[in-house]
Amino acid sequence: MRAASGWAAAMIALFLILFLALAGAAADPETAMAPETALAEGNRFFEKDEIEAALEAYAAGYAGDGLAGVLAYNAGTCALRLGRLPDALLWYRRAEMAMPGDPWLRDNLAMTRRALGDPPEGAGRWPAGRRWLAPAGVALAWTALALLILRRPGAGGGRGLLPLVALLACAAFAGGMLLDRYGPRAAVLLAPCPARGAGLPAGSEVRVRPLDGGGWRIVGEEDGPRCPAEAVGLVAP
Amino acid sequence: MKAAAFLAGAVLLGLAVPAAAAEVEARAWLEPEVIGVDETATLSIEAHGDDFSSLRFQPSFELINLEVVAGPNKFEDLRYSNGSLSRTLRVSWQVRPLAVGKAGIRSVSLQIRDEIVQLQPQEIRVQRQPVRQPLRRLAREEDDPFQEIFGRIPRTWRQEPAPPEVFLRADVQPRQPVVGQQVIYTLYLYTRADIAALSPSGVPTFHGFWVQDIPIPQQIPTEMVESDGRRYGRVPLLRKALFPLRPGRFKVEPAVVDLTVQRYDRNFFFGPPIARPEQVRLQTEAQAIDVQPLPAAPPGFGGAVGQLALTADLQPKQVRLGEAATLTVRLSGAGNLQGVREPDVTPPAGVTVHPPQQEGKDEINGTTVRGSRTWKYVVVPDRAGSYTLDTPEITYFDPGVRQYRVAASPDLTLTALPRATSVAETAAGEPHGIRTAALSLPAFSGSRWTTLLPWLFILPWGLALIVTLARRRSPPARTGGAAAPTAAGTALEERLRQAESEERPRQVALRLEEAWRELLAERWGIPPATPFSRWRELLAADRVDAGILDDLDRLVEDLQYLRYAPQLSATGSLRDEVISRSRRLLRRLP
Repeated sequence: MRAASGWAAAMIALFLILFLALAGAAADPETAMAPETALAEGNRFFEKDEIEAALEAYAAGYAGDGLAGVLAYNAGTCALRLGRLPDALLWYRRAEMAMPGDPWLRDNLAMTRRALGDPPEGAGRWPAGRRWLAPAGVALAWTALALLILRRPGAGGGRGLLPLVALLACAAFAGGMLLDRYGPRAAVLLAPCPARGAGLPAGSEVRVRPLDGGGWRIVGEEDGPRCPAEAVGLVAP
Repeated sequence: MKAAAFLAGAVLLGLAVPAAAAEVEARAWLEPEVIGVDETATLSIEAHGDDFSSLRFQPSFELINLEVVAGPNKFEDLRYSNGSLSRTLRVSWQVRPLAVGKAGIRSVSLQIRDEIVQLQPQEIRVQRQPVRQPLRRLAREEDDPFQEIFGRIPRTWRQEPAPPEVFLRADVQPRQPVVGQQVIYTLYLYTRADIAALSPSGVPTFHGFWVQDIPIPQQIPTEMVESDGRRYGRVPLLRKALFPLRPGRFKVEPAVVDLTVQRYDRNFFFGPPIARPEQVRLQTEAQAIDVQPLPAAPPGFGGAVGQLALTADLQPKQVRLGEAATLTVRLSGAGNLQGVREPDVTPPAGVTVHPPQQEGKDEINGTTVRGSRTWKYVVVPDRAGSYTLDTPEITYFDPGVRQYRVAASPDLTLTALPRATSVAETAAGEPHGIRTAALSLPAFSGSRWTTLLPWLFILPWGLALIVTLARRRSPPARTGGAAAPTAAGTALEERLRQAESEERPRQVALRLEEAWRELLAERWGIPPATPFSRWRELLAADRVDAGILDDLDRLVEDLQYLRYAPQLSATGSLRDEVISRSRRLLRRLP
């Protein structure tokens, strides 16, 4: 009886620690302007043909929430109007994360890439399966919960399956999150970066790894020189 | 040469003609006015200006009834008078007539700097008889009018005049420059006498130096300096900027200047002082300049010495593909920029930079030579994008601090817009505009749900924890029994308690068998009349654990043994074992 109480207390403590850690990590990032205000402000500047100011307003409100797709798309369109193609590509890539099927976004993104001369992608495009790793872990966790609820004490069929599913859920979720946080990150080069050969021009879509002491290294160019921080725009900042 | 017949005897004097150039006057003349047909005349063209160092002209004229027999002879005169310098350049020819009559020149023009100055035509008269040329009277001692009146006074009674108090001195600063550093060479005239005229007749050649003239101001401020205890007026006559071309010890030759000094003699008691010009030739001492080599140069040093600055500009900063921008790099400052090479511009990938065009200029600012070099590069983007052009750096030696420095300017950004045609390639011809409102997106599209992933992941574990705790807290869970107690289970428990008090083995077996049949019927729907041999089969179909089935088989065997072998005496322990096993099995049932 005493052992069972200790096990339950440990489970509760672990759950609380996880809950608090996630609550802290999942807090909304600070933005310079509320997204709704930024959208309205940017639209007003755009109407007055003050494209530079509109771009700044949209960028100030971009925070990865519900309006992030529209704000990123509008920022990309402003950058395109200003002729800053690498910036436009970066903003469109961010918008693509939020609203992947949008036809306007698809057209403008394709046009931006064409205008950039379809620069080399390096190892840049995001592997499609990788983004589903953490969601798969979540799905497996819910499956494990269902198995636990449905399992009757003494029933023999699910005894070995439940731990296996639980283990797979944890592994998938942890793998997905760790890759997102510490693995190669999708980026757009805002300025030419040194690399083997002639280097990669601005507008190249690459994956980068952070380096100690600042800067980034392009995946596939591990032996190459470091890329300055200001030359790299992360698709998921 | 074109000759024409003119009436002999006509004489025209040369007239001064104001030149178009502001500080230069020019004139031409023929003399004498009348010559014999076998005699010669002198054609002179003269320019007079205030510029000490750079008076040059190119004459052009047409001779009438004359031909050149000698010349041209060039005469250059530098005069210092009333506190200002003037310079005269005269070119003369000896000409002789071809026939008796009029002779002369016409279409006389001078090219002075960039301007053409037209001069008036000149004429003389040619006669058959020779004409005696008038002799110019020279200022000599015998010309003294008092001597002509009173006769020559013995020299012993007269005080021999002292040499005029005037001398030249050359100044070189600094005397130990490094290669390429500017050195100022100044020729000074020190005088306590009146100078009527002066003419430099020997200027050093400055071998081993690149030389730039430094003009002397028109109004020269005479400064009073003391030399050997006497005060002199000092006037700069010549100033040059020298740039050593190589290290070593160089000797600058003496400068020689011919002067006309105005002397005043008192040859008679009551007479006023008589001014007499006296020709004096002055000479400086040779000057030594010890040129030091430059310290070990860093990579990229191209020979620039001085205090320099670099600027770079890109115009326009935004072009479309197919257009070009101009990168202008300008190096300027005090110093010698001769031989500075064009800086290397390394273009980023996607941009082509063509070789530059160079412009250069050297000018005098006070006593300092300031140079500038401008390189213009044509920059052509190969593809659209924003590019950073690393502007070049130029290493130079600063003689002021005696160390190498780098002149640099901030990097420039070139934006290359796509061609107009590439925009038209889209279906709509132009990119889509902005969105003015949020879109209604599918529930699981975009990145919003990804932020919920951690919560979605932790939630099932929380629920699992709750379920587990709830199951542990329920009584059946704590006793290890099956699910909720049933009537059959309760009856089996009751039968087990009764069996414990029953002494007869057969009765114990019957009661337990009956109770188990009721339990199986209620929990799994197995008919009570089902024989023992089919219990396992039917329970296995309901996915009852195999271990439970094994225990149930052993229990059935023991019950049958008690039921059909009661004659055996030792059944007490078996009866207890069957009851105990039934109770354990009852707890394990799902």
